[in-house]
Amino acid sequence: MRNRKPSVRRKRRMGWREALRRESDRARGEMIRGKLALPMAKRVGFLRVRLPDGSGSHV
Amino acid sequence: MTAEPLLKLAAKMLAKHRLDAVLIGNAAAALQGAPVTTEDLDFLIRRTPLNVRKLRKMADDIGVSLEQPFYPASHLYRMVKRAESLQFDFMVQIAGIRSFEGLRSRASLVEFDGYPLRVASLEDVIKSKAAAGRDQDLAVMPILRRTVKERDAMYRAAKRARRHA
Repeated sequence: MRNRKPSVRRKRRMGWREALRRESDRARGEMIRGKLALPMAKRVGFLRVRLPDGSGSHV
Repeated sequence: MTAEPLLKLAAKMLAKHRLDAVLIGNAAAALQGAPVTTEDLDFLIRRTPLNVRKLRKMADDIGVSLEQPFYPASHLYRMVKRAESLQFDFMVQIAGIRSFEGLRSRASLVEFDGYPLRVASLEDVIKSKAAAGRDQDLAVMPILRRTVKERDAMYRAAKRARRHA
Protein backbone atom coordinates (compact mmCIF):
# COMPACT_ATOMS: atom_id res chain seq x y z
CA MET A 1 0.00 0.00 0.00
CA ARG A 2 1.30 3.43 -0.95
CA ASN A 3 1.84 5.81 1.92
CA ARG A 4 0.81 9.13 0.41
CA LYS A 5 1.81 12.38 2.07
CA PRO A 6 -1.14 14.68 2.82
CA SER A 7 -1.58 17.30 0.14
CA VAL A 8 -1.13 21.01 0.89
CA ARG A 9 -4.91 21.51 0.70
CA ARG A 10 -5.53 18.62 3.09
CA LYS A 11 -2.89 19.95 5.52
CA ARG A 12 -4.49 23.38 5.40
CA ARG A 13 -7.93 21.89 6.02
CA MET A 14 -6.58 19.93 8.99
CA GLY A 15 -5.04 23.12 10.35
CA TRP A 16 -8.35 24.96 10.08
CA ARG A 17 -10.17 22.11 11.78
CA GLU A 18 -7.66 22.06 14.62
CA ALA A 19 -7.89 25.86 15.02
CA LEU A 20 -11.70 25.61 15.11
CA ARG A 21 -11.56 22.84 17.72
CA ARG A 22 -9.19 24.88 19.90
CA GLU A 23 -11.30 28.02 19.57
CA SER A 24 -14.49 26.12 20.44
CA ASP A 25 -12.72 24.55 23.43
CA ARG A 26 -11.47 27.93 24.62
CA ALA A 27 -14.92 29.52 24.25
CA ARG A 28 -16.53 26.65 26.20
CA GLY A 29 -14.01 27.02 29.02
CA GLU A 30 -14.64 30.76 29.13
CA MET A 31 -18.40 30.22 29.28
CA ILE A 32 -18.04 27.76 32.19
CA ARG A 33 -15.64 30.05 34.07
CA GLY A 34 -18.10 32.93 33.58
CA LYS A 35 -20.90 30.84 35.12
CA LEU A 36 -18.69 29.67 37.98
CA ALA A 37 -17.76 33.27 38.77
CA LEU A 38 -21.44 34.03 39.54
CA PRO A 39 -23.03 33.14 42.87
CA MET A 40 -25.16 29.98 42.64
CA ALA A 41 -28.44 31.84 43.01
CA LYS A 42 -27.60 33.87 39.88
CA ARG A 43 -26.95 30.90 37.59
CA VAL A 44 -30.61 30.74 36.66
CA GLY A 45 -30.72 31.28 32.88
CA PHE A 46 -31.16 27.62 32.01
CA LEU A 47 -34.86 27.15 31.36
CA ARG A 48 -35.93 25.97 27.92
CA VAL A 49 -39.52 26.76 27.02
CA ARG A 50 -41.64 24.17 25.24
CA LEU A 51 -43.30 25.77 22.22
CA PRO A 52 -46.83 24.82 21.08
CA ASP A 53 -45.45 22.92 18.06
CA GLY A 54 -43.49 20.66 20.40
CA SER A 55 -40.08 22.19 19.83
CA GLY A 56 -37.95 23.91 22.45
CA SER A 57 -36.67 27.44 22.81
CA HIS A 58 -34.26 29.33 25.05
CA VAL A 59 -36.41 32.50 24.91
CA MET B 1 -35.33 32.04 29.97
CA THR B 2 -34.70 32.60 33.67
CA ALA B 3 -35.74 29.82 36.01
CA GLU B 4 -35.66 32.17 38.99
CA PRO B 5 -39.46 32.44 39.50
CA LEU B 6 -39.80 28.65 39.38
CA LEU B 7 -36.87 28.12 41.74
CA LYS B 8 -38.35 30.65 44.17
CA LEU B 9 -41.75 28.95 43.97
CA ALA B 10 -40.23 25.49 44.46
CA ALA B 11 -38.09 26.61 47.41
CA LYS B 12 -41.06 28.37 49.03
CA MET B 13 -43.44 25.43 48.53
CA LEU B 14 -40.93 22.85 49.76
CA ALA B 15 -40.33 24.92 52.90
CA LYS B 16 -44.04 25.58 53.45
CA HIS B 17 -44.96 21.89 53.16
CA ARG B 18 -41.79 20.73 54.95
CA LEU B 19 -40.92 18.42 52.08
CA ASP B 20 -37.30 17.33 52.13
CA ALA B 21 -36.19 17.31 48.48
CA VAL B 22 -32.95 17.66 46.53
CA LEU B 23 -32.83 19.32 43.10
CA ILE B 24 -31.21 16.93 40.62
CA GLY B 25 -30.66 16.67 36.85
CA ASN B 26 -29.72 19.44 34.45
CA ALA B 27 -31.25 22.16 36.64
CA ALA B 28 -28.89 21.14 39.46
CA ALA B 29 -25.97 20.97 37.01
CA ALA B 30 -26.80 24.46 35.71
CA LEU B 31 -26.91 25.89 39.25
CA GLN B 32 -23.56 24.21 39.88
CA GLY B 33 -22.16 26.17 36.91
CA ALA B 34 -22.59 23.87 33.90
CA PRO B 35 -23.84 25.58 30.71
CA VAL B 36 -26.77 23.19 30.14
CA THR B 37 -30.50 23.79 29.73
CA THR B 38 -33.67 21.98 30.74
CA GLU B 39 -37.46 22.24 30.52
CA ASP B 40 -38.22 21.07 34.04
CA LEU B 41 -37.00 20.94 37.62
CA ASP B 42 -36.33 17.41 38.87
CA PHE B 43 -36.27 16.54 42.55
CA LEU B 44 -35.43 13.45 44.53
CA ILE B 45 -37.53 12.77 47.62
CA ARG B 46 -37.82 9.91 50.13
CA ARG B 47 -40.49 7.40 49.23
CA THR B 48 -42.92 7.67 52.13
CA PRO B 49 -46.73 7.92 52.23
CA LEU B 50 -46.34 11.19 54.15
CA ASN B 51 -44.24 12.71 51.37
CA VAL B 52 -46.86 11.74 48.77
CA ARG B 53 -49.50 13.48 50.90
CA LYS B 54 -47.24 16.53 51.12
CA LEU B 55 -46.86 16.48 47.31
CA ARG B 56 -50.66 16.46 46.88
CA LYS B 57 -51.03 19.43 49.23
CA MET B 58 -48.21 21.25 47.45
CA ALA B 59 -49.89 20.64 44.05
CA ASP B 60 -53.19 22.00 45.45
CA ASP B 61 -51.37 25.04 46.74
CA ILE B 62 -49.78 25.74 43.34
CA GLY B 63 -53.09 25.06 41.60
CA VAL B 64 -52.04 22.05 39.54
CA SER B 65 -52.86 18.37 39.61
CA LEU B 66 -50.37 15.75 40.68
CA GLU B 67 -49.85 13.23 37.89
CA GLN B 68 -48.09 9.89 37.78
CA PRO B 69 -47.34 9.67 34.03
CA PHE B 70 -45.40 6.40 34.06
CA TYR B 71 -47.19 4.57 36.87
CA PRO B 72 -46.73 1.67 37.68
CA ALA B 73 -43.44 1.46 35.76
CA SER B 74 -42.01 4.38 37.68
CA HIS B 75 -42.93 6.29 40.83
CA LEU B 76 -42.59 9.69 39.23
CA TYR B 77 -44.86 12.47 40.46
CA ARG B 78 -45.34 15.40 38.09
CA MET B 79 -46.80 18.89 38.46
CA VAL B 80 -47.36 20.78 35.19
CA LYS B 81 -48.64 24.26 34.42
CA ARG B 82 -47.84 24.84 30.74
CA ALA B 83 -48.81 28.55 30.69
CA GLU B 84 -46.08 29.30 33.22
CA SER B 85 -43.56 26.77 31.82
CA LEU B 86 -43.81 25.00 35.15
CA GLN B 87 -42.91 21.35 35.32
CA PHE B 88 -41.76 19.86 38.61
CA ASP B 89 -40.87 16.17 38.57
CA PHE B 90 -40.45 14.35 41.87
CA MET B 91 -38.66 11.01 41.85
CA VAL B 92 -38.20 8.53 44.64
CA GLN B 93 -35.20 6.87 43.07
CA ILE B 94 -32.68 7.63 40.34
CA ALA B 95 -30.02 5.56 38.63
CA GLY B 96 -26.55 5.65 40.18
CA ILE B 97 -27.62 7.11 43.54
CA ARG B 98 -27.85 4.63 46.40
CA SER B 99 -29.49 6.72 49.07
CA PHE B 100 -31.37 9.95 49.45
CA GLU B 101 -29.36 10.70 52.61
CA GLY B 102 -26.03 10.41 50.78
CA LEU B 103 -27.19 12.70 47.97
CA ARG B 104 -28.59 15.17 50.50
CA SER B 105 -25.37 15.26 52.53
CA ARG B 106 -23.30 16.11 49.44
CA ALA B 107 -25.78 18.72 48.15
CA SER B 108 -25.28 22.51 48.30
CA LEU B 109 -27.76 24.78 49.99
CA VAL B 110 -28.89 27.84 48.00
CA GLU B 111 -31.40 30.45 49.11
CA PHE B 112 -34.15 31.78 46.87
CA ASP B 113 -36.24 34.55 48.40
CA GLY B 114 -34.97 33.48 51.80
CA TYR B 115 -36.07 29.85 51.34
CA PRO B 116 -33.40 27.14 51.20
CA LEU B 117 -33.12 24.79 48.24
CA ARG B 118 -30.83 21.77 48.23
CA VAL B 119 -28.94 21.31 44.95
CA ALA B 120 -27.25 18.00 44.13
CA SER B 121 -23.49 18.08 43.64
CA LEU B 122 -22.14 18.01 40.10
CA GLU B 123 -20.45 14.68 40.86
CA ASP B 124 -23.81 13.14 41.80
CA VAL B 125 -25.49 14.54 38.67
CA ILE B 126 -22.70 13.02 36.56
CA LYS B 127 -22.99 9.69 38.40
CA SER B 128 -26.75 9.50 37.87
CA LYS B 129 -26.56 10.50 34.22
CA ALA B 130 -23.80 7.96 33.52
CA ALA B 131 -25.90 5.24 35.17
CA ALA B 132 -29.11 6.26 33.35
CA GLY B 133 -27.24 6.18 30.02
CA ARG B 134 -30.00 7.76 27.91
CA ASP B 135 -28.91 9.66 24.80
CA GLN B 136 -29.83 13.02 26.35
CA ASP B 137 -27.81 12.15 29.47
CA LEU B 138 -24.72 11.03 27.58
CA ALA B 139 -24.86 14.12 25.32
CA VAL B 140 -24.20 16.49 28.24
CA MET B 141 -21.51 14.37 29.93
CA PRO B 142 -18.48 16.08 28.29
CA ILE B 143 -19.73 19.53 29.33
CA LEU B 144 -20.45 18.36 32.91
CA ARG B 145 -16.98 16.78 33.22
CA ARG B 146 -15.39 19.93 31.80
CA THR B 147 -17.28 22.01 34.39
CA VAL B 148 -15.87 19.84 37.21
CA LYS B 149 -12.38 20.32 35.76
CA GLU B 150 -12.78 24.11 35.48
CA ARG B 151 -14.29 24.35 38.98
CA ASP B 152 -11.45 22.34 40.51
CA ALA B 153 -8.87 24.45 38.68
CA MET B 154 -10.54 27.62 40.02
CA TYR B 155 -10.52 26.21 43.57
CA ARG B 156 -6.81 25.32 43.29
CA ALA B 157 -5.97 28.78 41.92
CA ALA B 158 -7.90 30.48 44.75
CA LYS B 159 -6.15 28.28 47.31
CA ARG B 160 -2.73 29.13 45.84
CA ALA B 161 -3.58 32.84 45.87
CA ARG B 162 -4.66 32.65 49.53
CA ARG B 163 -1.42 30.87 50.45
CA HIS B 164 0.70 33.54 48.74
CA ALA B 165 -1.29 36.43 50.23
